[in-house]
Amino acid sequence: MKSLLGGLVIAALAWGTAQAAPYGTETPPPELQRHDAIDTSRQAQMRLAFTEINEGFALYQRGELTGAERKFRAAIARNPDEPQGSTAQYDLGLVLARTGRYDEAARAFDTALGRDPGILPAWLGLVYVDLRRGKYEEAQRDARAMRASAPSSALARYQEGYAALLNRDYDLAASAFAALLPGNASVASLRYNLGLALLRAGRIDDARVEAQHAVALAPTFAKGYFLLGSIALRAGDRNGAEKAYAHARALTSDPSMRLLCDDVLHQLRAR
Amino acid sequence: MTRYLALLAFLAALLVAAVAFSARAVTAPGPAGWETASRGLAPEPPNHALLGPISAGGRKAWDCWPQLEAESPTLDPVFPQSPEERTQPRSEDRPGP
Repeated sequence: MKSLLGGLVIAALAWGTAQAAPYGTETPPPELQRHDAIDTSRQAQMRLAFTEINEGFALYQRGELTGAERKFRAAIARNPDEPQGSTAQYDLGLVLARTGRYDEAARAFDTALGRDPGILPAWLGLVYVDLRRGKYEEAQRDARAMRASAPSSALARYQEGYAALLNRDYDLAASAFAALLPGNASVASLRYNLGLALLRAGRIDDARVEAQHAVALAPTFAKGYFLLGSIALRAGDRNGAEKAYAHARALTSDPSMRLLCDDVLHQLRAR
Repeated sequence: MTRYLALLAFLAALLVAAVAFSARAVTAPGPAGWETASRGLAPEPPNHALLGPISAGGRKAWDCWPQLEAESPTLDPVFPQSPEERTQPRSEDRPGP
């Protein structure tokens, strides 16, 4: 009796399932049909993620960072394939960095790079948030990693020098900036940074040459004159230092630099 | 015993001199104003420490400027302006090392 009842239940279930299935006589095998359904659903998710990234992009461009963040997070939740997966993570990292959430931003940039190490702007973002958090060693390491993945990138080399300078690795900073000179010799900021690295490394004469190039390229560059003054000061040329600091003082529109110039000039004249 | 004590005194004096010399080397005072000047010696960050967002169809697209700028072998796109043309300090400006 029990087995008869069991048989009836199984037969009823089988009939119900057959009625619910939408397959006709021409229907492909059910297993293939299931894959197709999954693929279609995945494609729909990808399309939605694509749209959300573009909507977030447009919001970001308009300065609506909260809305942009929502869109990027929605896209990430759909776990899109490459390159959209790393793109969404990078875009989210950018919003987080711009809004001062540096730890979260670092995680988003890291995830983007884990998915695609070729997304170079994410390396830059990572170096940026390292620097903002005062993690100069990590910044130097990440800048080095970026340069390894894009050896011809001038920005990677510059970031490496910049991070090294902040990390007090003056010889490395000087060599990174010097390596950029061919092809970039007319960039005043580069000459200034190289001069600063050389001064910190104790190579006063080389530093002076670079600082002179910087102010020749950008004659109203107050920081360049401030550097020249500091090089003269370090070399024991008090008159030269006084002249350069006075020049920086006259050029700068930055109140804190004006105060510094006044302070140094006062100390120089007091002796 | 006297020789031993003399040697000990000599070694102690040597140690004191070495310590004094290293302390002087580490904290060698710069010229007047140097300490203050050091505070103003901040490096110049690249203009675009953070690049822009990338659209869903971007990255490999011809107009994806963040990627193109990051790949550029020259600094031209990084410094479109001379430093003196920047009137406002940028948010990413760091204090001197």
